[in-house]
Amino acid sequence: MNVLTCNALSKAYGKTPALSGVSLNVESGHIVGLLGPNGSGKTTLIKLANGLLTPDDGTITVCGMRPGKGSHALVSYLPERAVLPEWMSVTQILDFYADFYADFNRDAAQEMIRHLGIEEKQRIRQMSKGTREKVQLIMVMSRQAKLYLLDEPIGGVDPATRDYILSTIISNYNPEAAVVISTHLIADVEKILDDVIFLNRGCVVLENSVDEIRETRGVSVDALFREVFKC
Amino acid sequence: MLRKLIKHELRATGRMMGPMLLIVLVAAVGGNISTYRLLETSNGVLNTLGIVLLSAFFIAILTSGVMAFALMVERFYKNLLRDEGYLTMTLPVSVHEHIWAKLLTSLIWWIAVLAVAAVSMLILVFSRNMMQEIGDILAQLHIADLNLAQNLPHLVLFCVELALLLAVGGACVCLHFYAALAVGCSFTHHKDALSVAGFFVLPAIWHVIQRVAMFLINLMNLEGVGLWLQGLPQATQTHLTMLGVTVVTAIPAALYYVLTAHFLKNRLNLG
Repeated sequence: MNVLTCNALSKAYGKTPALSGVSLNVESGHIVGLLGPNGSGKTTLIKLANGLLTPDDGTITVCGMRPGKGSHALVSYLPERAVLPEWMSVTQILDFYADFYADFNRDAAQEMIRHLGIEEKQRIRQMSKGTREKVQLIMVMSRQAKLYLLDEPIGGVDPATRDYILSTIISNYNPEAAVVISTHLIADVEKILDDVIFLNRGCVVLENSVDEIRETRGVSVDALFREVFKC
Repeated sequence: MLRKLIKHELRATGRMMGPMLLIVLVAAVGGNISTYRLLETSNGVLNTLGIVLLSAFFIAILTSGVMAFALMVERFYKNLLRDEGYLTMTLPVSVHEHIWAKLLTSLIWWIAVLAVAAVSMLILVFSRNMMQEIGDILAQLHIADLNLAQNLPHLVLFCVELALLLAVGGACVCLHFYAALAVGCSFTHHKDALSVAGFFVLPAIWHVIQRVAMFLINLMNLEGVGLWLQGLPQATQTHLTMLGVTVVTAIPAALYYVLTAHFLKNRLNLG
């Protein structure tokens, strides 16, 4: 079943095109790497799927719905930036997610928070950048969503935090859901991916399974990425 | 979901408005002490302290109003159109619920500011003599009892109409800001500058619409309506005037609402 479908999707910022006629499908039960260099349109595509931007042309649907109230209940989204209000405590954030998302597993989130040694009364502004990102990820991965859209989840964090983030994703996502991970740090995520989509200058240049890439081309995704996006 | 949005909105704003309103009440007590004690003495230091306390009270009232106003703008801008918007605008709630939550929360705080200002004024002027004065006023009302009883329904209705007008007027002010921000932030570049421009351009457009509407109304022969109005009792004329002013205030509010909802739903551009 297709969870995310794009059809001739285009978006430009002023005169600068960000996506040009992108068509792709993401099926449930797959972990998909949305890979491409900086400025290739990864974040734009994810924002469009969340309704944070509106397409100039083409369509994008999540479980058959246009991005909006209905699709938001099915998508768990991790933005590439810190978005949790700094004045909020962990308890208040847990309340917030529990209030708005019927699929939010508060117990699982509290368990992960405890495991990290974070006090629930601690406020976001009192946390380090890495801890904030972990709390944000915990909230996102504690939902039993149909589609997880993770924008640069391992960008700008140390290798130990990267491992924590990837293991959190793997151990918490709904196996019947699709996970889209946008990144340019291929080597770190390659081991958890089922499929990859290469984006370059707003166009899909490759859409394939990781196994097929290894079997037919005899190279890793990381090596293929370096070959495709060679400067 | 609207109830939950308002709950979290009150939590976000209450952490600032709550202490601020408490400060106003405490400052009113200080103002009362100044009025009846410190300013009554011949001691220069106590007199100065009295003036400072009294000034602090009026500054506190003013600040609470400004804060409620600033929060109304800041919450819409920061919570929906900046980084927090990535969280807020991806909640499973409709754009209309977002707008109503912001609007109702702002109105709640404005009402709270007015109520606290009224209570603090009473605290400021409270004295033992005041109870006597209130008793005198009530006695006078008792004398005018018959007249009051006759006019009471009109007075109550007028108060309801005034409250409605103030609520619609307050909503219009909020929605004017919301529409300007929603339009300005839909652009890719210069979002803040375009929001400010929108703030001035939108009322100008409304002014033109008003002028055209007035011109068209003048073309119609409404002399009969005018005569009919003049023939009505004074109280009814007052009620109809209040209703008319409320409707005229509600029209731009409705237009700003439609504009805000359209831009948040179809032209959202979080950068």
